[in-house]
Amino acid sequence: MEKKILVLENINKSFPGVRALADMNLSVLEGEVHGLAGENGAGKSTLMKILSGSYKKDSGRIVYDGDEVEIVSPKHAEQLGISIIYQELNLIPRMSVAENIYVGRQPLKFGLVDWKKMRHDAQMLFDSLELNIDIHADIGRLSIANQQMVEIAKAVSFYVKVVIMDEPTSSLTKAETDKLFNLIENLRKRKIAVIFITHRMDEIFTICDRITVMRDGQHISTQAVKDTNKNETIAMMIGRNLTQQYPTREPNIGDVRLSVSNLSDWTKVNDVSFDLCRGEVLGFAGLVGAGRTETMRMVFGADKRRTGEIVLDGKKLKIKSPRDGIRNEIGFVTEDRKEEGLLLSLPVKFNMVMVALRKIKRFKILNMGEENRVSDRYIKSLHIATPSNRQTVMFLSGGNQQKVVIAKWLFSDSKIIIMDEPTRGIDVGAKREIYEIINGLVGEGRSIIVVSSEMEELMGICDRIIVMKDGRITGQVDRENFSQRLISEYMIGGGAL
Amino acid sequence: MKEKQSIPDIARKVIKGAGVWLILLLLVVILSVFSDKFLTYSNLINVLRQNCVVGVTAVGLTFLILSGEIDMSAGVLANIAGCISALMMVNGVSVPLAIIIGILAGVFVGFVNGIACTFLGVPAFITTLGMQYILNGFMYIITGGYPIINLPESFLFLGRGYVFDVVPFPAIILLALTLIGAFVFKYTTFGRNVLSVGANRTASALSGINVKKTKILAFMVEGACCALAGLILTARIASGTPGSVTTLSLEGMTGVFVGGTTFMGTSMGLIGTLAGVLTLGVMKNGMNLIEISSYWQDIVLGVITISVVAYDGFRRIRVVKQGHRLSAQQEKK
Repeated sequence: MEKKILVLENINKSFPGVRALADMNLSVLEGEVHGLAGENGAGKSTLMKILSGSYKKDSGRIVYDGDEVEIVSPKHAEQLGISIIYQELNLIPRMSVAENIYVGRQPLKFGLVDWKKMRHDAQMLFDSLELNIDIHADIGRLSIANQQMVEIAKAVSFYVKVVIMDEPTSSLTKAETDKLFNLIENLRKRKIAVIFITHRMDEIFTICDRITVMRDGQHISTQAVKDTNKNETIAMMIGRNLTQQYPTREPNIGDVRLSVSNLSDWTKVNDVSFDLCRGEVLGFAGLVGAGRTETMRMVFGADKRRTGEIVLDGKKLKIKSPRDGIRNEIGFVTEDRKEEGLLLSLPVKFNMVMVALRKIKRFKILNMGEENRVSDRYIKSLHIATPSNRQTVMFLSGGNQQKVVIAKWLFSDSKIIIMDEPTRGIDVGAKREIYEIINGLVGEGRSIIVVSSEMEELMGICDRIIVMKDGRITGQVDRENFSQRLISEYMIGGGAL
Repeated sequence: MKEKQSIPDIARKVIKGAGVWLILLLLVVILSVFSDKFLTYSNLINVLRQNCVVGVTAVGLTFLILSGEIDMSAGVLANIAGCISALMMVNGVSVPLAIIIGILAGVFVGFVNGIACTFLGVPAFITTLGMQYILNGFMYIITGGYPIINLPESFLFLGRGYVFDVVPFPAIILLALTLIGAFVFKYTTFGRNVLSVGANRTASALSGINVKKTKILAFMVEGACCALAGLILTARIASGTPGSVTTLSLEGMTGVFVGGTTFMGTSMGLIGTLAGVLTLGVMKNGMNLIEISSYWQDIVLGVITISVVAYDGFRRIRVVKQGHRLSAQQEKK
């Protein structure tokens, strides 16, 4: 029987309004590569943050190397021998590779840094890992892939027993991915366990020994890779019937209003074309980095497009800045409402009227009475829970904050509202309210675009779903043909099923 | 939502709203007890007159700081604007025109600062630090380093005049600017945009606000205020003296901070700034009256500046906790 290096038992973690982990279990064997699969929001990241000491668990047990441990900080996790390689790398630019590996624990000689020994040790480390990276090189000049390898090498130099890799291949090419897999093989030989988180089914089935599927913060299954297949795994990841979470709506779809053709920025978005009709909810599905947000930013005018035409109601639009988008009655509920959507330190009413100040102006002067009336009207119609319209927005819950953002675009008379991850980080009840608002808006004849990473959500509320992958549209599915299989296939690419 | 409020609740609200004004009042009471010279008409008018220059600068700086920027060149800008107007006047330009040109010079410098900060992307601290050197150089070139004297009597009214023989004219200017500024913040698109940009520039841009234009305008308003402050000073000392203004930038910003405006957004606004400037002025005056050496005064002012902003941070944390509680209660209903 193989030794269990890490066992998690009944881990619970709640955030205000959300239960991120519910009695989650996971056990990892010494020297195995353990895949962790699940949709966005399934709780993978939360689990890993608990393991690496960034979050504190509410309850449950962590047994590491035979002893129960309480991981209190990232530093502590590192000392125990658990290392996490994040999507954003934690290296110090403008320092050499060797320096980065020994930062904060440089070998000393007579109280001074022993450069010779540092470089020697670094070279030995890289040789043993069969890494062909110049240890003198400036870290900032290395490719992302090589930086990642350096970070893994750094983890190895700490005598780790568990390395967690969170979406390590999301920005790597095929060749780079192969190199990473070689390194993982090397770790396996050293009896270092790897927890490998990815969206890419192919990779799990290439490199992993066992796979655990998570859903809604719970453990669904753990199987040896050879005993299962991609179909089964995907079904377990998403498989759940659409419940009453999504309010019903009689579709009433009119003529084409917005027509986007050949939109490109030549990096993240290539040749994207689509139409949006009056009264339609159009979904955009895809993995992180598929280019959906970038596409929407170009339509709205937040980013410059290199090519492409945007036609609204038969009129070709000149959109070069958000002001142009707003002038043409396009609204944009951004993905990150705190950073991009709200003035957190200012009152609810201030936020609601900021886009359309002109509407509360009388003879060049703002009419405060009108501001109060308008904001009270939206607080009522969108059911925003706030003590008053003077409340500072940062004190509202996520769902109510999102409603303030939506109110801002409603007050500016947007005919077309783009919503990027409109329900991210808000609790189930508030989600349903947002869906109801969306239904109400299309009922008024507006058109809505919803970008979401939750496939179930898109299938629940959209009339049509466009799927993007690597900056291109790979498929389009109408409501009657909605199926998770089909959309997943478009999302992940031909080889998924 | 009308609930019955207990008396401590109301008291707390008054204290919160009045903030710095209460501190000012407290200070006045204390100083009246400690020094019999403090609460005399001549001393109070003196304090008011001395602080109008800082006050007018602080009005401009409030705009700038709320937009999220800072100006280290404010003092030298005031100085050079005064010198330019003085030069014009001794060379025969009419008083009103000279005043206008002085203020336009301030607007222009603000414009340049704004362009450098927005389009060239140089942080305001560095831009305005550089601008401070540039202006200083120009000031000595145009004046040759000598004070410009023999200014027309009608100009001196700007700094020395009294209205109805009681209220100093600069105080009227300061009060008027404060009220106009407060109005602009509350009732105009520009004022609202300054607050938006200062609170979150990304969200502002995505809401269709022209962030660069707003910042440049804030710099220009601030430049105009600094120039006006410089003119008032020039009129008060009856000469355009290069090097006569050394610490105005810092005094102005201290006034703004003590008045409750910080880079972190919301504030008491201009009414707070007025109180902040007066508080510092009264404090200085009080220290003079009870004969604390000016070196120690500087140390005290420095400590106060840091403490005020630190206190603001603590208060913010408390307010945040309170706010969350309120919202949570509301959502349960």
